[in-house]
Amino acid sequence: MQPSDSEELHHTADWALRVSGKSLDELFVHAALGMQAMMGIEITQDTDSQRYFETSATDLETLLVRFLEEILYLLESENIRITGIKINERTETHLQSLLTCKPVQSIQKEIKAVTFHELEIHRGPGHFETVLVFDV
Amino acid sequence: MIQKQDLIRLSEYQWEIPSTYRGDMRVPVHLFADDRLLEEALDDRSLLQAVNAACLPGLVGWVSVMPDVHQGYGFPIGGVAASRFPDGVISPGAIGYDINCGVRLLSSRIEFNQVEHELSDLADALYANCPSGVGVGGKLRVTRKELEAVCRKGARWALENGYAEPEDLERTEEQGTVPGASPRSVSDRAMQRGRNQLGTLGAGNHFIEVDVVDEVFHPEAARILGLEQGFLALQIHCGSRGFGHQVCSDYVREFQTTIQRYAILLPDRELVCAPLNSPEGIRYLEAMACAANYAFCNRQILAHLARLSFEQALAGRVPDWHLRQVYDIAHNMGKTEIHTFEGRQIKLCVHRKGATRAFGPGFQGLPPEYLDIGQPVLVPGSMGTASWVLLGTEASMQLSFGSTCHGAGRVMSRKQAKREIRGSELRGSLEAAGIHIRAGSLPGLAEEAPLAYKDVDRVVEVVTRAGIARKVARLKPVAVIKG
Repeated sequence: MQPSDSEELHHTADWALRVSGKSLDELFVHAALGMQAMMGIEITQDTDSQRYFETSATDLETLLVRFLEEILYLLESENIRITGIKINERTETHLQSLLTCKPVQSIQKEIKAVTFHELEIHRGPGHFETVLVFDV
Repeated sequence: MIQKQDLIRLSEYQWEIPSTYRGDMRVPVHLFADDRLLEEALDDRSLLQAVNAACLPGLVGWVSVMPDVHQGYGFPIGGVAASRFPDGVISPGAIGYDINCGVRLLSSRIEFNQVEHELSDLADALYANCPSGVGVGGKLRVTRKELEAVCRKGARWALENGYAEPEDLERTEEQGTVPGASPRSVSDRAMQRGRNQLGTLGAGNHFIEVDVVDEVFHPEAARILGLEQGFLALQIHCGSRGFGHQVCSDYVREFQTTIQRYAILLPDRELVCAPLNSPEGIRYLEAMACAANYAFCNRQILAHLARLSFEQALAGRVPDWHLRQVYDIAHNMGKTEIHTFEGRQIKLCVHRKGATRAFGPGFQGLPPEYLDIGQPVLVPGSMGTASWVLLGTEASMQLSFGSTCHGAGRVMSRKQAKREIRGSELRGSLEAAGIHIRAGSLPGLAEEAPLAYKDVDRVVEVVTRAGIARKVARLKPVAVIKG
C-alpha cells in the first residue's frame, strides 16, 4: 500500500514516484518509505534493530539519492527493511540519521537503482516535492 | 513533446530529428520505425530522451534509435550513441545500471514432439536449479580473490572452474572477456554485492525460456547455428546483478561533479559523463569491463545449471539432451570499436542501451563458422510471444554503428499493466496456450504481460526491411522461468 504522501506515476519501463513533505526532512522520510512500499516488502515480527547512517554529498538531490541507495543496500545485504527514520541532522550537503529496521520476510519487486533522471527537489512555502525514477 | 512534424522521413523505415530541433543538440537523431511504431515512440518521452542524448559531447554521426525504443531514464532504451576517442565521452547512464544485460541462446537436438509431456518436469528442474527472484543468492560463494578473477576473466573463469565448454566462449561476444577490466576501479560495496549472486537470474524482465524453433527463414544460416524447425532451444536473459547496478550507481554519482570539472553542460543529470581519456573516464571503463565480465560469467554458470536441468529431466528419455551454445550477446554495453565514418576508420566508444551489436559477415571477432553469415543477434519477445534469431549486416555498419534492436519494447507502464492484468489469470492463459510458467511473483508476472509490450514481429520486420538485420528463425516459448 502506497503511503498518501507518495504516488506512483506512469512510466513506460521503470518506476516513477512523486513524493512530498512539509519539510525537507519529511521529504526524505517519505521518499524512503514510499520506495519501500513500491517493493512490496513483508517484514517479520522479530525484534527491531538500529543502524546509524551518515553521508555527505555535493547537493541536496545527491544527498537524497545517497540516502535511498543506503536503504536499498541494507535491504539486499542485511535483509532488513526500514520501519522508522530519525533524522538527527541534515544540511544541504550532509545527513545524519538513525534507522530502525526489521528483518524481511519477503519482497515482491526489486529496485536496481535510484536514478538522477530529471531529479530536482522543488521547494515552496511549507511544501517540498520531487519525482524519483527507479530502475527496476 | 516531440510531434510527428518535427521528424523528417529519410526512407520508408528511417526518420530523422535534425540537430536544428534544439539548440543544444550536437548531432541528429535517426529513428528506425514504421508508422505505427513511430506513433508509439511519440507516445512517451523516449524521443525527447534521444534528443537529450544527442547533446553529449564528442558524438559522431547521429544517435540511432531502434524500433523497440521506449522511455528509460536519461538515455532511451533502444538508443545507440558513438563517441570518438580520445576526447569523446563515456556516459554510464547511456549504458544502464544492468551492465551487460544480455541474451544467451543454446540449441538442442531434442524434438519438441518427443518431449511435449516432459516439459513440466523440465520447467520444474530449471526452476529448482537456476536461482531466481528478488534477493535470491546463488549456491556459489566466491572469495574476493576469486571475484577479482571473475572481473578480469569473465566467462573464461567459468571455463577454468568447470562451468563451460570451450565452444561456449568461442560463441560469446568478446569470447566472454571484455579487455581492460581492473577490479581496482570497482568499489568494495560492488564487490560485496557480487560475491553471492553469480549464477543467479534475478527478477524483473529476466528469464530462462525453453523455446521450440517455430519457423526458419534462412535455412543455411539456421543449419550453421544449429537451429532446426521443431527442435528445442533455450534462452537466458539476465545481466550483472547487484554488482553491475552498484558499479553504475557509484559512477553516475561520482560523475555529477566530474562534469563540472570538465565544464560539460547536459540537459539531464542522468546523462553525466567523463572524457574517455580522463582518469575518471578510464576508471569507469575499467569498472564497466569488470561488470560486463561478471555478466558473461553469470550467464555461463546459468547455462551450466540449465544443462544439468536438461540432463535431470530428459536423460534416458531422448538420445541427446545436450545444449550447444549458439551465441551470447550484450544489449547494455559501451564497446570500443573501429568504424568507418565519412571514409575514414575511427576508434569509437559505442554506447548501446537496449540495443544489440549487429556486425555483418567477415567481422574478425566471430567464430570461424559464423564468418560468412555474420554475427547472430538474439531478440527475445515478450513473455508468451515469439523471439527471433537474426544476423547482423553490412548495412548496419553504415546506418546504426553496427547495431540493431534488442527486444519487443514496452508500451504500457508497470502500474497500468498491474491494474489491467492479474498475474494468476495471465499464468492461466499462458498455461492454457501450452506454455509452462514457473514464477516467483504474480504481480511481477503481470508487469511482464505481452500486452505491456510492442509487437516483436513488427519490430523485427522494421529492422530487416531497414537492412540492419536479417531473419534466421522465429522461436516459440513452451516453458518460462521467471523470478
